[in-house]
Amino acid sequence: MNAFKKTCWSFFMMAPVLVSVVLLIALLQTIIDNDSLLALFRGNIFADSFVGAIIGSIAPGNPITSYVLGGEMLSIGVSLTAVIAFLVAWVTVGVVQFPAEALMLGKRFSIFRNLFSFLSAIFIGILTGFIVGIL
Amino acid sequence: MIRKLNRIKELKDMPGIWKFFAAVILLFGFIALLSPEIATNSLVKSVEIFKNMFSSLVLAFVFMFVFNLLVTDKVVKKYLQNDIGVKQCLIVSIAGIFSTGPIYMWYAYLSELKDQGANYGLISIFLYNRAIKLPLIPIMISYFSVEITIVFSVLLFIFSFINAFFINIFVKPQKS
Repeated sequence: MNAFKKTCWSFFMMAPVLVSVVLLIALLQTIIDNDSLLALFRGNIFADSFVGAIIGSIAPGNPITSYVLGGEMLSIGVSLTAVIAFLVAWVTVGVVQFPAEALMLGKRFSIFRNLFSFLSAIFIGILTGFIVGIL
Repeated sequence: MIRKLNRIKELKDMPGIWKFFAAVILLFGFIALLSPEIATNSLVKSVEIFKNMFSSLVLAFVFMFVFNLLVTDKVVKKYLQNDIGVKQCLIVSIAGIFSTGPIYMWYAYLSELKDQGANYGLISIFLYNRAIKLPLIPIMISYFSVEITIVFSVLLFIFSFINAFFINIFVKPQKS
């Protein structure tokens, strides 16, 4: 019974944050359309990786959406490095969720976790492009 | 008595949470004045998001209930505090891979671990390995390729530990 009460309390504490984050995500998905995202990539592997990581960090939503977008980006010629950086940042970096994460897990942890995840997204993008190129 | 004091402390911390909520509501109100269509579409989309995540919410509740039932403070202190070892990293990384639902749903569960002094590196490993979505692997393969999917997933797994290493340097655990 204690475990049940403790779990309910945790969900009660989380509820306003959860609702807020969902509302913000829905708003961003309404305002930013896919064509606007695709126009940002110019063909430079390093710059595109950085741009990919930035967009992935900001763009919220289901990972499936990122796979669809990533597939489209590849088909129009965006480099694999940039697309992978975009995918990694999408699922590991959370600008929209940052306030909620900072509130629940601590500001210092959230800042460093998101920063390292952002840098990792660029490195993973470059490494994936390199490794897949060899295979 | 200690539990009641903790609850009071948590309620005192809630203003920050409610301020954030209030700020989002105000933002929506402002957008509704500027563009009712955007505000309406956003609200409809948010309802869709909640519907899609309902099953994940239930799963997260069950997961947290089982965790609270089985994992005592003693167990947390033994496995998740202080220095982290290979066994702990692997357990937490597997938990992250198998966890479902949006990341913010798991904040409450991780916040409890944090309050019990769980190592921040382990929390980071859990969050990072959530990027490896096993049920979505077939979808990723269909959009990219088997090679890209494997390399992507393996690198994510490896980088989760690299990130945890740096997190532990810069962020120290809190103890309640």
